[in-house]
Amino acid sequence: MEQSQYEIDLGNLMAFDPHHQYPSSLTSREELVKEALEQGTKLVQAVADALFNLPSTEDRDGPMVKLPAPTTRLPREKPLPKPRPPTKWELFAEKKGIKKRKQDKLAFD
Amino acid sequence: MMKIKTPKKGRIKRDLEKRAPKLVETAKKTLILHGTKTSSVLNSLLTEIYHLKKDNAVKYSRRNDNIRPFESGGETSLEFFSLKTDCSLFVFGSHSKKRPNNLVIGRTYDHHIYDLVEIGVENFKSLNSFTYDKKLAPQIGSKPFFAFIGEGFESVEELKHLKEILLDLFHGEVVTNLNLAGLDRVYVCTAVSSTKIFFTHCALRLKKSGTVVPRMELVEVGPSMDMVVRRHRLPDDSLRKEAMKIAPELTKKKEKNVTKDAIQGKIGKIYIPDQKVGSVALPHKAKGVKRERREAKMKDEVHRSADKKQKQHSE
Repeated sequence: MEQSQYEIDLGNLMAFDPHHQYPSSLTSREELVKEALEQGTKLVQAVADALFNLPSTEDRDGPMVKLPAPTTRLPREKPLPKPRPPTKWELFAEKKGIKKRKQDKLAFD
Repeated sequence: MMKIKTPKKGRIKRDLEKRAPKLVETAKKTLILHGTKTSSVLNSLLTEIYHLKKDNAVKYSRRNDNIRPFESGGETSLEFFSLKTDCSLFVFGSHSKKRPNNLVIGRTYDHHIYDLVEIGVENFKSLNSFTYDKKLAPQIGSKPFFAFIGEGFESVEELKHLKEILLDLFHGEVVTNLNLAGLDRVYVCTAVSSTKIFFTHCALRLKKSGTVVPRMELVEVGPSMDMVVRRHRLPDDSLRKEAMKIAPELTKKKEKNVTKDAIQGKIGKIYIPDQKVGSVALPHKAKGVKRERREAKMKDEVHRSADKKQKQHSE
């Protein structure tokens, strides 16, 4: 079995081994299960290696890491939001050139 | 004509806003339902999937006779339910002589069917049949690890599609901050042949090891089954393109004028505007304006007028 580079997607905590081939001597189901778990352990170990080596901050419940964005792109469930049309006041303010001004809290006498 | 009222205030407006399309999306909800006939295997499978996704899943208990996902007319009920419950993933179980223990997993885009995959479940082992130390049981809603094994997931169309759908179904929320102490589950999928995968759900035990990284140990807890891919429907290319769009605000803006050099590091060019050498006023004062000259001139005038007066006197 070759030592292969697993494809790791840290944002999804996923590891994919494209090269593993089962030895054809596996006949019983138990052996298949055992083999699958063994391979699974290796893959999870690889992801965890990458994960625990990220810079971590200590939080109340345990170490927190900042996960990178996932690399596998999944489709959205709804279309992109359209920017809402400006209201009548917003249109008027633009036309007149009125700009929003923040009021100071302190009013001098 | 009756005026169509759209709710403008209060709780209903807030609920509508929750369902409106967002720039960055939250976790997808799953709808679990079954068709005309189900077997005991399917029943327990559906309840277990519901348990695994307790927070964001809806399970319908009645049977739905008119849903046939792969036929063109049979999807309307599914789309209506997806609209009503705001679910974009669905799991539909049915049992017939031709397709025993059939499970259809599908996704919707904008409440219309996006893609489907139909799998047959074999050798199902339920949650209750696994014995393990109860302390290891994974918590509901924790982010899972995924392990996909086998070249089939890359080379076979159906398995590639199934991999994407399984990832979408079980991956939970997309988070940036992750608590490392809360990692306790993993889904292992192995491609046994070009149509069959072995799927199981395990709890993780983190053991002390010498380094920062703990040693992982997998303990089978959850449902495990063989999935045989029967049919699948990929999305249309145009629909797929639309669904995969990323908002332009989210793509990183390229910094202008910054180049990276191997020797010097980050370099940027400084552009100075044109220096108008001819037209700028000189800092030196004009000759006539200078004070010494003015004083000298005044003294000269006084001297000259004094001279003139003297001349007049003499004459």
